[in-house]
Amino acid sequence: MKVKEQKQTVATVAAPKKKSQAQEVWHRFKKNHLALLGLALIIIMILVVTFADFIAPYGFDDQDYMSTMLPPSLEHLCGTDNVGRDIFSRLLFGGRVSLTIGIISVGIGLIVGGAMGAIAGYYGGKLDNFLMRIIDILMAIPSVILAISICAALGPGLVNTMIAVGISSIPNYARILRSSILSIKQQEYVEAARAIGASNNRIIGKHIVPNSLSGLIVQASMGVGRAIISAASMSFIGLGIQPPNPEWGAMLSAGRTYFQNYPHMVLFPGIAIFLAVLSMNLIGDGLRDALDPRLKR
Amino acid sequence: MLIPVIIGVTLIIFLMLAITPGDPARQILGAEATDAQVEELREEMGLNDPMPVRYLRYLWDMLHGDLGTSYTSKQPVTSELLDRFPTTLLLAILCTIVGAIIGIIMGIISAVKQYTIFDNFARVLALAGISVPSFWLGLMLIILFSVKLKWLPSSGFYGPKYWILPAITVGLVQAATVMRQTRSAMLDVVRQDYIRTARAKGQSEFKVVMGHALPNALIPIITVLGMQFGHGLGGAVISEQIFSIPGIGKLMVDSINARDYPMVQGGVLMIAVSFTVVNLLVDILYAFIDPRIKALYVGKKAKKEEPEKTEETGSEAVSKK
Repeated sequence: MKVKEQKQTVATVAAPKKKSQAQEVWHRFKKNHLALLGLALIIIMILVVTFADFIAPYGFDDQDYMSTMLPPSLEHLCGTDNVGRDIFSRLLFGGRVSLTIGIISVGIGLIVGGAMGAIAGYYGGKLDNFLMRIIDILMAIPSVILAISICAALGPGLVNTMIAVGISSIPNYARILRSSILSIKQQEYVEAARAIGASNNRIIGKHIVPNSLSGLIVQASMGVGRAIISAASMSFIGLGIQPPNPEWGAMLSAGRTYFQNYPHMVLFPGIAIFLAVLSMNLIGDGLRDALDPRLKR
Repeated sequence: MLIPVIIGVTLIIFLMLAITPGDPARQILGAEATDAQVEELREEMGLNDPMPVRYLRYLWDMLHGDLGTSYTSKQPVTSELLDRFPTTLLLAILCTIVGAIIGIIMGIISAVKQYTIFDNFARVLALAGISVPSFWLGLMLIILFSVKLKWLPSSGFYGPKYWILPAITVGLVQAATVMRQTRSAMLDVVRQDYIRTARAKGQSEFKVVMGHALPNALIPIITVLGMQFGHGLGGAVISEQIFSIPGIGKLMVDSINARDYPMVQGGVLMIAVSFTVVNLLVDILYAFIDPRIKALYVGKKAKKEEPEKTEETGSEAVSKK
């Protein structure tokens, strides 16, 4: 988090004499045009869905039986659906749900998985063994199936979807943090901190975690994209978000019955998912190159 | 390692059933049944026993190949799953082949021609490929090839003609991941000294790439392909739904919608087992592909005796002091 906050301020604050690590990262990041494009896209998306109330020309549940299945026009930018709701407006409100699910479920996965990975990597021994066996078990089930079966057990709904997608991403973060901590633990500065009598908590919090964050940040940014797709898949098969609430996957699902004759009903929700996921992946790729210059290729 | 993981998976699946709302006995009997009838069936099914007893019984039944009876079709879950498995297996194989061919070829060209137009184009394409939801891509391909062009059937799974669209849909998405992995693995390898040596002695570029570089980059590529294949065995849930393919994925989704929990659990278990087995096979495959890993195992056995002895004598010496 800290790195992200710093990164945001970097752009506005005048350059100080000595560049911080975050500034260097930002400097390298902004050379990557594709990554900047991704960042711009996602910022626009977040702004648009946040202010959907003012931007959307119609409400997300305004039905108009006189104008169903209309193709895209100036009046209805993305056309209307089977009960005459404006698809563009529903995309904006649905984006709120989809992006929130993406971010919060990654948060759940990051916190739980990160904690498991950090503890396993730092303390090692039996605790490590125990935690990693749990991760092995979770990894034995493909993540989509895991999310689907958790969601089937908990029942559909926004919160349950976030929990299901979050849990299914735990192994990813736990393993990444554990492996980077295992290598950092051996570094001399950690030994030095221990030598001057720093407590375990201090060593983990001040030295090890900040230095092992880079892999986690990259994974998290791409993870938001994956989470959006997972949530959309679940809504698509009838779990996840329930109608009439707009969510991109649920909108695809609703359009599926009519898509052969009215392709616009599935075209636009899909493009929305694609753009959101693409921009998170662009950011992730850019961050990976910026955080670790040796990996740049 | 395989067996503890599978036991863990069964525990998770069992716990998921335990937290699932709704009474299985009521589910079977239907809404008209009286409370007394439901209670009788609960007793008969052993649903009133304590959880550990139920779990052990579940494990015991599972070891005997009994995953319960489907609520909707009243058929044994095991036989229904086995009926569907060949379809899913065939689909997974087809998708992996499509993904491997497109992904590896594009990855190699991209790595060899790094920073050219082709490379940039392929990288953007691959990034788009990992960002597109496969089920949406499937719908778009149906619109293009079945509805507009009328070249291919849009649903069912009756013959090779029906396999093309699903295989391409899932295969293209897999190809994106395979391409990214191939490219980065190849880039790692082409910077090695032995590649320079091969070039220096005048070897043709094709032989350098295919004979020297590719075999050494195969391990990460095989890992990704194995993962994709494993996911295909269970993960093509939504694609099966779109193309109405009667495989395990469609069975799972239909069962979820019908609240047919024994079927859902059986499906998850089957997918987890096949996924784990595929991962194991990939691990074994490493030894055949990479001589370095084979040498490691042979070396370990030979070395094992000596260093351990010296360590023992070392610690003995310390303790004696």
